[in-house]
Amino acid sequence: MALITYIAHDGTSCEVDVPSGHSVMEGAIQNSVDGIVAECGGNCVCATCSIMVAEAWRDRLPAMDETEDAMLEMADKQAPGIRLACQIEVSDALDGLVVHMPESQN
Amino acid sequence: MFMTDCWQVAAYASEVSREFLTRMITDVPVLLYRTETGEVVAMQDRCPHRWAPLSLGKLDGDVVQCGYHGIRFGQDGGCVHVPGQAIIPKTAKVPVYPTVERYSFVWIWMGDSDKADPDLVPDFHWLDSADWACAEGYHFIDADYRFIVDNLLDLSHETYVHPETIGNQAVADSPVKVSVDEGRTVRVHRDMLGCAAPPQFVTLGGFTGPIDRWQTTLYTPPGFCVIEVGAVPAGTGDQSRGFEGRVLNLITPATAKSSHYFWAHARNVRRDDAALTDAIRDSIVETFNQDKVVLEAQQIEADRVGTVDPGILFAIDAGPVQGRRMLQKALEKA
Repeated sequence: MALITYIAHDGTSCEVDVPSGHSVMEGAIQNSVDGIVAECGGNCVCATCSIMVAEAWRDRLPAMDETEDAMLEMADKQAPGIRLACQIEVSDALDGLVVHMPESQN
Repeated sequence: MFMTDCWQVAAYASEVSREFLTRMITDVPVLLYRTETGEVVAMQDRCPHRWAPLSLGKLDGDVVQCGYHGIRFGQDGGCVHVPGQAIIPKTAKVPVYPTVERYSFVWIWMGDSDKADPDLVPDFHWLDSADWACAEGYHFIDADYRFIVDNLLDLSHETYVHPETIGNQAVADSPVKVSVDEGRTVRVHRDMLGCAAPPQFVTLGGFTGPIDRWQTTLYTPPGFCVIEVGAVPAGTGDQSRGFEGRVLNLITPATAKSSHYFWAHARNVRRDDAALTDAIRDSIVETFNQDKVVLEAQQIEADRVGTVDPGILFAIDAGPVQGRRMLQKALEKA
């Protein structure tokens, strides 16, 4: 279980308890947090669950694999700290994670 | 938007004869004919004088004579006669395109002729092999070739578009696995275990109960999709009681919004059964007629929206997404 803080583009902050084994994306979708769209349902196909991870957390997440990297490249979203939320699996180690959502996922 | 430094199918070899065959290929009108010794010539179908299609003229021996003012061109595209004058200017010539006959097709290289290496013709050996019996055909589709490639990279549509031939619920319900071979071929694979045999599979395999079925689409840009298909009685793993097929799809762009779709179904069972070949051909014609309806309607709406890209990407789009990426890389390399 991890307490994750989702911060929207307008600064609104939302804290959610996300069970271990779920993804950061599922934590948002299942708790009606705006800012993450997840068109492909978590299959790393659409790049509409992009988030910016707070700097202190970037090295503490499961590493990005080639598929996620390719999707971010295709969507032209590669930037420091940018991850696809569906590819980050929640565990106790992520308790306190802070992520920022973009203004739009387009 | 077109790859041209590559071999693409211009025609079935049997279509090219001493009569002119004209075909639009990557937005270029092409004239195809055979010389008196049977060699294929592919020439731009446009007289450089006043743009009349050379196909309105005639073939005189191995010389093409324009139907407007009688200008004559040899098989290398060079002008050999201009009525009313002795001098033939060097500017009087027509582009010709390298061709190769292989696997029952005439392949054409529309780009830089110096790069036209016959060894680069894609592998479609099933059409030439004693191990496979083939049913071939062709469709002209009023749609961007990329929409046809998208269609073949997401076969979940079989459930909804082709329930009379190859589709049932198992296809859409089973997830795909997508990967890339050698950095140039997209592989989209799906297993469907313990599912009902769709009508075409009953015809091919004689199945009376559930089957284990699989399909793997292999896409290589610009427009080549080999679909490995097969089935065995469920739970048996017994190839001897099943069949394997290769659905071969070779798409050549005609214009930005229309395509030549050459296809063949190769099977490894009952190879001598000509009636079965006819039944398979009819089944594929019916299947692709259904795709034609959807693809052409999609093109019209895509034009209204003003895009060739999807509006939403679902999990089933994993294959088409990688396909477009592979095509984009190939176009950028050119």
